[in-house]
Amino acid sequence: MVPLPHLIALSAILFAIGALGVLTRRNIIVLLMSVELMLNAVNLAFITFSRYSGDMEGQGFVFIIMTVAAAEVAVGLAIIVSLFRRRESVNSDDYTILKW
Amino acid sequence: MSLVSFFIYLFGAVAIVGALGMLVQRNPITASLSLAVTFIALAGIFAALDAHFLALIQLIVYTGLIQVLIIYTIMLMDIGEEDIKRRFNVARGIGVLAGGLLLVQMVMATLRGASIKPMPVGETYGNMAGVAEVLFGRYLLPFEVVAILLLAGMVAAVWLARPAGKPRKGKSAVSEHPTPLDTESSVHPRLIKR
Repeated sequence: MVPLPHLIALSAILFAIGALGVLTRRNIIVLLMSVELMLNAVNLAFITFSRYSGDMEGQGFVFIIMTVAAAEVAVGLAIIVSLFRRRESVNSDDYTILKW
Repeated sequence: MSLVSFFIYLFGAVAIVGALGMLVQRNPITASLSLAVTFIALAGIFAALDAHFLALIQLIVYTGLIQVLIIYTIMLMDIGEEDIKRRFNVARGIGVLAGGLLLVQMVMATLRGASIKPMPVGETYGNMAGVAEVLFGRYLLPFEVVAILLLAGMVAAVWLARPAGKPRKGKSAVSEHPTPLDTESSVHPRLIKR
């Protein structure tokens, strides 16, 4: 099978791309998708270590992470819809009311 | 190279290409479809790593639920393309720098790690029975907590996305419970009309 570092490196690359998306994009829906990508990269690391150690426990964690991701995206999209209704914008630069 | 290794590398390359597509696409619909490609490729890797149940769940939950929900939301909102290359922005420059450093650092750190041989796995590894043994055994409490979290998430989503300003017994809900956003001058006209 594939050497372990290659799979973990793939997970790290996907996580870093997600982090780059959060840091550089301005569309709040794309920000949400970047967070999903980061969660999924962590899932890949969990499953890789679970397979290489022959222990099922990592997969239990992945199941729970997926549930949290589903709940997160439901609440996140509801917040975005609610924001969009008030401001007609999905650009995160337009939301500065918390700025002091 | 065995067939399994070949597929892991293939799906890995597809996953990275999809993720980069999400990063650079200006149209949010294209970006979300790129991300769906990444999720499907990751499901392939999960299957190659003997996590068959989670590969299916990945397909159903991530591509079937999360991406579809995001695409529906984008279609509801009628938004245009994001202007990525607008002008040089200090915050964005710092973001690219920090993200690039994170990428280089993490890849270097992970590639230097030692490899171990995969352990032989039993018959229930990765299938529904194996996952159930973990979830209903040692991790029963987290499992129940996550169920409550889903319920709370559903209630929160319904409450947050409720039609704001819907008249209720003659009075509008907005004036009853004003939020800082409602009192601002830039309230959307559609909101005032109701």
